[in-house]
Amino acid sequence: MSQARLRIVRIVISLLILALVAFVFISPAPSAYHHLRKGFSFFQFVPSLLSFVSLISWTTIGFIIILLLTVLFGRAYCSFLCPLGTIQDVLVFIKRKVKRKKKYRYLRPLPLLRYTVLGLTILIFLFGSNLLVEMLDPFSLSGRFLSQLARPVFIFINNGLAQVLQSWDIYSVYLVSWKTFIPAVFLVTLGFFLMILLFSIFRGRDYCNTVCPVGTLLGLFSIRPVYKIRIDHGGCTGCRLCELACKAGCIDSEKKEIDYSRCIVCFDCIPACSGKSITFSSVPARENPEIKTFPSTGRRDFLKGMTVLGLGLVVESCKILPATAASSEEKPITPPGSLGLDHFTQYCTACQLCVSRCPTQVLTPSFFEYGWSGMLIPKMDYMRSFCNYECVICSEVCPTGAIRKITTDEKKQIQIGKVWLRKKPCIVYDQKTDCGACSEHCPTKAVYMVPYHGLFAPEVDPSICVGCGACQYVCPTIPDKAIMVVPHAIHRQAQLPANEEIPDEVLPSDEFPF
Amino acid sequence: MKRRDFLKFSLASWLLAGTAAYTGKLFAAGVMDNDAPFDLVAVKNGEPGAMFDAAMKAMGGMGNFVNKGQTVVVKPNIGWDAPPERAANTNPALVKRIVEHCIRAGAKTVYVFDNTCDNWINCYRNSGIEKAVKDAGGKMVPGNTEANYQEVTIAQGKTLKKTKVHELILESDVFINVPILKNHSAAQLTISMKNLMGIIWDRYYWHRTNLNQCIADFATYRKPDLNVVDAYRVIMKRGPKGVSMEDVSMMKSLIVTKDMVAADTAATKLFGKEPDKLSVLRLAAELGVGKMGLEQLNIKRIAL
Repeated sequence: MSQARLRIVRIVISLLILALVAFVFISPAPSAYHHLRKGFSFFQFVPSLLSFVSLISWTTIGFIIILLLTVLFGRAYCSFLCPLGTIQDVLVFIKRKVKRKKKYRYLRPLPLLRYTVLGLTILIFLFGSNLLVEMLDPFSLSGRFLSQLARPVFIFINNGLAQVLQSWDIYSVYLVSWKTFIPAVFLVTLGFFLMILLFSIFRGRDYCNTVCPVGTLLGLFSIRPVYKIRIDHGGCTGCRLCELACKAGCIDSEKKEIDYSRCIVCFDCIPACSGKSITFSSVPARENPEIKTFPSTGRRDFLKGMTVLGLGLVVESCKILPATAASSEEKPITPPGSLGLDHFTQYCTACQLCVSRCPTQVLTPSFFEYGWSGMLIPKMDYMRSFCNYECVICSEVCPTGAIRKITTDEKKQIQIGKVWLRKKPCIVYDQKTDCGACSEHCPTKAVYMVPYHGLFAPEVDPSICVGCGACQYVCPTIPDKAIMVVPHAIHRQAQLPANEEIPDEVLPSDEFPF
Repeated sequence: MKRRDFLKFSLASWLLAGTAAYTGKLFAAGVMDNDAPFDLVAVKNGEPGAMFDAAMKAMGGMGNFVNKGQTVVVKPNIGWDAPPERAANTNPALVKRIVEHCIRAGAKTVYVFDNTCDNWINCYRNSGIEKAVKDAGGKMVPGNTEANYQEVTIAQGKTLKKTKVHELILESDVFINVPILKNHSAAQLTISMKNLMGIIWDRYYWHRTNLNQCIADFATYRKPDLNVVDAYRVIMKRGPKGVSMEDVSMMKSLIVTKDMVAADTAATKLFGKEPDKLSVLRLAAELGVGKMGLEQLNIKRIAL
């Protein structure tokens, strides 16, 4: 096989993976296809790493495989598996259809910046905030682009189609709402998108090579990969075509060197070479033996950076910590399976997959409600919707283990918050007319009705409340709700509703009571 | 169908129905009782489909309600994400049989929808009604979009003057209301009239504005052409959704009538409650929606 085909293989695989990721994130309607996320999340570095830390299970060792593959083949992850990498490739492809091709140039490495970002990300994570993981992780960024920017476009198309079909009396496509639109979250996502767009247009994969912590980390493992792109110094004519084709900017054609910590193994240089002097192999060709490439400085720089950062950050992070843990009463309610505020905010990277797939759209991206270190992490928003008693989709789609996989039966015993009834604004107590919307919707009858002056009025039994928010969502009082759910910082156990005695059997007889 | 045509049609059909009922009374005195047109048919001890067949036979067949080429909207209770055996939603076998009867009578299209309480996709699927309707040749229509609801004036409403109603109710020729009899935490029981809260948009306005009066007021707006009360499985407590199978009793009964008040009065008695204690029945009867006095009605009772 000609090695030029490697590039085609890379393009096909990366597009297939992006298509799968995009499908699971974007599809406008709730569907049974959310299980497809298993098809990609195993091999997404940060989700896999986080779920490994959170679950300690062999089902989450994808990131170890990625590290091994990186040692063998270099940073192929960034070209084959990373959705953000492929999104950038697609953006550049589109841009080139519109405007003239821009040639790439060799870019000087920026080790200090790279390793500082990586070090900061790791350190802050170790100190209990995944702010930088969440902001910079390429999978989570892709997720936000797809769910906040692309999905609305598809919803728009879907709804247009639905309306056309409805006018023909066809109802298989139906209107989908986007209840979870939060302008600030949308704008932050758009800002990041524009940043990535500019990076990819003007500096190729420079986001991946100077900002992305995953790229930098994998770079440390790809300093001397077994298989790598090699320039045959004997055959090289110095035409520079490879450098101009290299979106990673890692080929220095003057020195005929490749910075393997930045090479993303996209194979674009192989067909670009005028003389077939670039190969991907484990066998050194006629390489210039005395030239050692950059790598050895990589590790040194990283360690240097880490030490400096470490000292400074131990002090700083200690100051930050109380801000995240304190005043948990005012913090949002986290979904069932997320164990509580600390676990959820530690492992959630705000990829918004649960938000996209939540059938009731009760999961809503937050802005500052978790504090600045938990920006964009989803919360349960009972002013917009409520949590379906039987549904565990968020726990099935969460790729990081922030929401642990739970069964419906387990969910029914998890109390994420508990009901709080204020009788003063309640319709029945206040206006003396029947209402009971809260009790009607309550799946456990933690809100139940008792006789009250010829009417029926709500009372609550918080011990069997799961905190689903149905009562709060449907409570019709304006402007403030008479019944709401008070969050638990650590989820508790809900008692199962007692099985009362079986009602008198209405025995079949031939008699009618009228 | 235009609104004007619709009004004309309803007026005509009510006049016709009234005459039929009246002549029925005349004959009822001397003729065998199964020859008379009945105001209400109650069936017991059968499966949902078989009970409906028997009821329609007594009612003279679906052809009395649905003409060839007409559009029909069937409104079951599909409010909750619960399986059929939990009886939170109308029995799917009954809905299926109703759709089949309509189609056999020559209906052009039979639409089925509800403005659900739980997520509508789950409700439609897990109630078994979506599949039942599709199998029978009917059309499931989403009820989740405000754009499909149009504001109407409730001329006889005491409290409720205006509300938004699903356009299928406004546009269809025939409206068949298929509630399920259940215990209800707020309204004590939910039957025909309460079921109509699933054809309007903003029920929370009703909840905060004297719920029972709103239900009675709205019952004056568009009386269903037929009410089929499912009392096959009945939630006896912790309704309207029920918490577990412990809440459900087998009642194996069915009530069919054009009169919502009569349907709800009879169903209340089936449930073992006193109709006088349900204020919504009294309010609706006062507004002339229907009759609470079952003794004034020509009732056919069938035990299978």
